[in-house]
Amino acid sequence: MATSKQIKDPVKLIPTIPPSGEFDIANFTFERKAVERSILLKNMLEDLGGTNTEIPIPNVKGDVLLKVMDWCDHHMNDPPTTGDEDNDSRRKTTDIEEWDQNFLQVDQEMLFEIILAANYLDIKALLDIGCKTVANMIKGKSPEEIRKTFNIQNDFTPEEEAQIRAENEWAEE
Amino acid sequence: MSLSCVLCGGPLGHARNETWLNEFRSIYTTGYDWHNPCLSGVGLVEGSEYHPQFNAPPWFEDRYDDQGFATENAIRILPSPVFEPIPGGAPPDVQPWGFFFHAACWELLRAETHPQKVDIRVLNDILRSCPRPEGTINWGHTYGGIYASQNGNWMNGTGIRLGHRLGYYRYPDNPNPEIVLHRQDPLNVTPIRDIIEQSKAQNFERLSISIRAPFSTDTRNFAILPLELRELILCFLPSPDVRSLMLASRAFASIQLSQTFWASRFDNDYDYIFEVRKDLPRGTPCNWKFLFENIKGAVHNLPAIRNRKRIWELLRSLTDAVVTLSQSPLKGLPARTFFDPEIARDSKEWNKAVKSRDSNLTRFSYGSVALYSRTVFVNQKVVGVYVSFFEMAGTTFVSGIRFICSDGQHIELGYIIGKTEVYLSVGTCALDDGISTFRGFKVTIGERGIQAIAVASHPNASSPLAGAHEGIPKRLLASYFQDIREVRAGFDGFKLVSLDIPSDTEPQSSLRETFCWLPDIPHHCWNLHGDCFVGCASIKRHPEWPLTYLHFGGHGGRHLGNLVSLSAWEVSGTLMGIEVQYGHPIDGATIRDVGYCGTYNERKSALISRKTKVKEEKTTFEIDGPGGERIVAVELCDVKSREQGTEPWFRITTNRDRAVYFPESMSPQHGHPKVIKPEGSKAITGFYSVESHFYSILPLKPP
Repeated sequence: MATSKQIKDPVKLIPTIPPSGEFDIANFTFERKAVERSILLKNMLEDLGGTNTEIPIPNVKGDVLLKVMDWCDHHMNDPPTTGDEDNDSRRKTTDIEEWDQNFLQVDQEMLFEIILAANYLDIKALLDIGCKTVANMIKGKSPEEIRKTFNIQNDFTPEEEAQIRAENEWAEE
Repeated sequence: MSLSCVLCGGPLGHARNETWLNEFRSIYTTGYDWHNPCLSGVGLVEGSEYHPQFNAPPWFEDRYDDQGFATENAIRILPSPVFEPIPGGAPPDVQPWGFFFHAACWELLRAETHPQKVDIRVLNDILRSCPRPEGTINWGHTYGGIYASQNGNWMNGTGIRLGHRLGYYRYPDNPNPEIVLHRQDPLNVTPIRDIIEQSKAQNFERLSISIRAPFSTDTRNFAILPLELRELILCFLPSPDVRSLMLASRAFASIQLSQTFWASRFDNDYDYIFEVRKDLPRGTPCNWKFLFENIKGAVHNLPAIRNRKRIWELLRSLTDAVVTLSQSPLKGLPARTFFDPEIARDSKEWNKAVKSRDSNLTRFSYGSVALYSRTVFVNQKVVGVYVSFFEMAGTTFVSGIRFICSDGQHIELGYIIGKTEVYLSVGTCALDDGISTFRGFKVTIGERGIQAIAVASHPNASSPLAGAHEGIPKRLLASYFQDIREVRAGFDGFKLVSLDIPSDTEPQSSLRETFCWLPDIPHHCWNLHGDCFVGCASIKRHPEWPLTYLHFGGHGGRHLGNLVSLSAWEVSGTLMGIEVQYGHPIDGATIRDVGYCGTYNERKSALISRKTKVKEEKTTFEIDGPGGERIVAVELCDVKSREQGTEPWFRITTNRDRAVYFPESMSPQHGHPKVIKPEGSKAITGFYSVESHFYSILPLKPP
């Protein structure tokens, strides 16, 4: 957990949707450098200035925020991205490093929540690996297998299905 | 010898019209400076087809046709190191030698590795690791089908042997069958460049992501994600998977795809059209949909692009390897090899799981080579190991081992690749008395390296195997008498090729612990009568040949009452295989065999081919297993008893004093037979032999 370490430059994030179970606000104090992995929060911190800052976080459940900050804590010393996507990743494929793979071994609900939180907090690297994880769960599967994996009910009419097939002929090998 | 490009498998040089086939580069080593390879400039293959000469500028930025480049500054590069002076050559210790590839293929390798740079040392180590039969490298693939291959029993069925290059190779759906695709210049893509220019110039609809009718009502599952995130997931998928997802989920079927999505196709389906990424950096305003549709239409009709795609796919695992290994240095304390002669020898005795080649690469046509040797000391109790793996051309090999000690210490040996690691706990292989001390390994040994590992707490107790093990010979490498405090391993450029533990103070002579076995190490309760095994000469000479067995009696002899016959197959008086038949099926089969039984063919044995016109014969001896008849004695002998081409015979006797010789033409006056007669009422429950591709079945021994 991020909060178990000695924090040099603390930032308190206050989730407006507290986590399930006992809520200890002390768990929501993070290293500024980790918080700044979020471009949204980085900009807010710059706007607010000063130290001992508290930022309310709407839209992200407390549990999810803790998980997201775990990721930020692990990656806080990563080199900044150059903005040149061609140079930031060798291939835009679905390669995910080991720690991140383990980090995202969560149930689907939590995975989608992490993706939404990464999008809201503007953490591009986390958003990418979240979406890549979903893509990896889809790769090589038939439509039926995808439905089974994500518990999707097949509610297409035969006409709708025929239309989708026709519209996506471009995707055939 | 005619040489081929080690990257694409196509011919090097002597092309009349295809200049690209004549232009080459080399990763070369100067003499015996094994660890400091260089990339040459672009040279032109000269000389005759069977005596080609490879003269190239020594510096990678130069070309043979550069203005001002003086021919005398080119270096002559040989295809392998030399150890004796050659006429007209440099002294052996400074003679450049190396691996050759088309200059165009090098550009593809660079593009596929981008934005990382190709690590020349890592690439050279990988190239040095692969066998080099007949002028090219055997990666374990057929270069996209342009070489004939022979699978079958080549080195225990774990490798392929490259045949000749097919001069008429064509893709099955090639619209122009007269074109030999592997001779098409993969960089000659003028029509593609034209399409890119058109797409830049074209006015285009600025497609933005949106929901389209009639699929916009869904609010479940993926629909909780905003449109742009759903599209981001699509961007990470190859197009066939996009289609499947559209057919699976209304939340995706409802998306009107944007230009961002169409741009992403050049990171997925058409990553090999790297000119797109180069000419149109991401975010460039462009009609990406137009570009996608037109390039998709063009690639099917452009032989050069089809050849590029073939090469690109061949290079995929190589580029992954180069990138991964440049970040995964070899771990462990260096020990001496042929290529590290400056390291002092040690005088320790080692028990070796694999007799790996430690030679100079000049005649390296199969197997593996130990470029490096590394040792680790494990002074604390080992509680488990993580095993790292590396995949090359579709085959997975063990690349490294990380020992976890009871004090939390991690000790790394080899190439540690975190994302592939599998954990094996020593605790899962405890003996009946609960003791779980690390006492060694069980390994599977393929033609080109170790493919799976288990940890052993005793020669009779090991963890499950991590890695590929079905149909691959297994070898036990464990100590009865002492904890393992030191492990040594041989590595090539990307995998583990040998594994050693210190020899026990009391040498082991048991066949079970000394040799490889198929399909698995025999059960420790079986009596192998190892002192009577007459195949030792052969197998000591060829430790890579596994022993294989036919345990027809089942554990405790429970299947003996179901046995109705024993047959031997022979060809021209040479024993080839043994077959037993049961009255009722066991595990779905009434017949089990060992060796080569049935009608022979080239796939099964190189000795037997249509040309030799030999005829196999089967001799059957009926046994009244249900009535209590058992095999109670075996006489066996190897007439020639030499390392290769042995000629075994055996005779079985039942408890009803019935006996038969196999082959029938043999009799006791041939050789000096050994007799196995189990004590008391015990019966023979199986046979084992040497499994060999070349020499069929070798001397047999009943357990």
